[in-house]
Amino acid sequence: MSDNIVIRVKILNKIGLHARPAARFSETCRKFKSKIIVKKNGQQANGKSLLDILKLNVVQGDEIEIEIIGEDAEPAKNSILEVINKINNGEIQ
Amino acid sequence: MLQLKGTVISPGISLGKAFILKEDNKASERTKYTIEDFYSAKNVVKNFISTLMSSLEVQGAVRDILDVQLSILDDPELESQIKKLLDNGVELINAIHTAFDYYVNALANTSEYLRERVIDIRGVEDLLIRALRNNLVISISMSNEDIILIAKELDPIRTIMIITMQNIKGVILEQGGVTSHTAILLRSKGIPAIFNVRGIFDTVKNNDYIILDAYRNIIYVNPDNKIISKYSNIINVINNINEEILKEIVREGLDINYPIRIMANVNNIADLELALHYNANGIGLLRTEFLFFNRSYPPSEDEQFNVYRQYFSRFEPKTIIIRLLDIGGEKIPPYLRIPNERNPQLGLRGVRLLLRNARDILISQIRAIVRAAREVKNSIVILIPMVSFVNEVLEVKKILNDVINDVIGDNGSLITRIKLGAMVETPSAVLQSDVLAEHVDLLSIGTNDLTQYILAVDRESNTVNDMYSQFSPAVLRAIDIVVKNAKKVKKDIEIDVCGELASEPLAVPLLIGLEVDAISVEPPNLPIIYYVLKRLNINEARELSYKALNLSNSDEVIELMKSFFINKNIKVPQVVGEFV
Repeated sequence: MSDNIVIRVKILNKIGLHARPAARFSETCRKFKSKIIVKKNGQQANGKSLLDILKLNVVQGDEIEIEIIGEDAEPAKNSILEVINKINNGEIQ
Repeated sequence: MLQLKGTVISPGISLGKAFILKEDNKASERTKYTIEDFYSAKNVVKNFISTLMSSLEVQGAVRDILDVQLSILDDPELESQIKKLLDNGVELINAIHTAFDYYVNALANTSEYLRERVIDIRGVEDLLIRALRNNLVISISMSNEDIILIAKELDPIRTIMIITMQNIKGVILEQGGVTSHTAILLRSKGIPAIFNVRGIFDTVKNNDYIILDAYRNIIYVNPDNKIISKYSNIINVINNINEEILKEIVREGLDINYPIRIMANVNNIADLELALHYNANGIGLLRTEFLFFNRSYPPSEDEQFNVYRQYFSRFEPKTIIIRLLDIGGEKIPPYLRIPNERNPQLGLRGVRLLLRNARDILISQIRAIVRAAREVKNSIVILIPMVSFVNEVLEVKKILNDVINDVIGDNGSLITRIKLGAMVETPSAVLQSDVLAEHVDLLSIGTNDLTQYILAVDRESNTVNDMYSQFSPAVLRAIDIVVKNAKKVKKDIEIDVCGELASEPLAVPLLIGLEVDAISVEPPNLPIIYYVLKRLNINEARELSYKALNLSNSDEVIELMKSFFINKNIKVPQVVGEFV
């Protein structure tokens, strides 16, 4: 039974989805079996790939769409929202 | 068979095949790499970066970069690209270059920020290629054999790479400073090492069989079967002894019946964890130099605060003796300007350097320590290095008091938790130890430098270094003088011994007999020191030290101690030859 969840989040921290925030984000995605696709302005990246995410160049104020496909999509969504929250409030910098 | 000797850096015995590290021999003959080679290189680089991150010297921005690099190594897209290229017949090194080029080009077209990060990504690529190409890394990591590494010199970064590899059993260098960070790292990891072995490059070839006896300062090259079987026996006995010691500690715990505390020397997180594992009574010497090396500007107060707090809290609530930056003698960070001196060992070093040329660094370090102390419950002793004049202690004390007032106001309980100590490493500090004692709470005798200054022998000199021995009766007399003088004026002053003598099982009974309050030991040596102490009573220790003080040279002291250990059947590796 495969789920398909789409979330939209705004990135609020100063350096955006780069450096350690991007590393923590991709490491979080790697914990799940689901396929995780991050989209920005028509471009897309594998959420588990730090280099792919860097390529998207997500900066402060950007809105991204995250599509999660797979049987553990629900827990993946929760973990991703948690890590985005930590990035946005500066806990991960 | 050939026998060589040098300067013992880190005691122990190891057997293995010679692996000669030649600087210009990077390209391997192997050209056909498989995906398995990529995985193995990846693991080597991961270990390397993790070890770097656990050392005190890596903090702040550098640490963040390493953190990201570690994550890049596990990037699934990168790996699948490399795999695809390999499947299409592209050679591994080209495949790695192509995959990284793809990302680097994509990133170079985005923002200024990412263009700057490209160098970090290229850094990962470079490490991977080096791990693949470098004979050292790849052949050692793929070999199951025990290896004795032989090199001209080793920088600390390479040393870190080496100590992460399980099958490196010993290190022999043609040069190398006794007091260098390389030496400290090898000692703290318990890897036997002998430096300054002249002619080792001309005589030893790869895969020669080597016995490295860093108890007796003998290196055998291709020894005959008789010697090999003798040493195999010795190694077996030592392993049995070590196993017995560890079993005993698990069974009976670490309590000993002496009014002496066993603390640990700590250079990095790995030391700290080992010290915790062996239940040391505190950190007797927290060295801070690593935080200041390999960078072009000094660490900020905040950066230091974060590191110190981390170390203190991990050891809560035990005592931490933290030494102020102690630079001198060797490599000087670029931001500390020191003129070339004819005799740097007698020049601007230790607290002299801090007070005369680096007051800003001294103040920021003390502020960081006091701020960190406020966050924890440990008792913290700030230790002043290389004291040779009483005034130096008074000046640092004034700075400390100003900082305490400024940072915390008059918070009485905190002030009593922050204490001041002075290193006793110079003849003047020994002779004025009673005066020093009036101004400090603790004296810590650093036997490495003390021996050099008492005997007037430069450890690094090829012409006289054989005269250097911490077992010298003159050194023991100096310790005796400090204990007696200082306790006379201040009964409750604490007197510690750090330095190599305190990690030396043969010397520990002497230190007990001389009635010091604590010894600070290299973490891997903690079990054996406990083992010795449990078999010793205070009266025989006193008797031994009294005898030793009146002997004429270090050889006689060592003989005295060996025969004592043999008679009491205290089996330590240092005397094991006599048991076999």
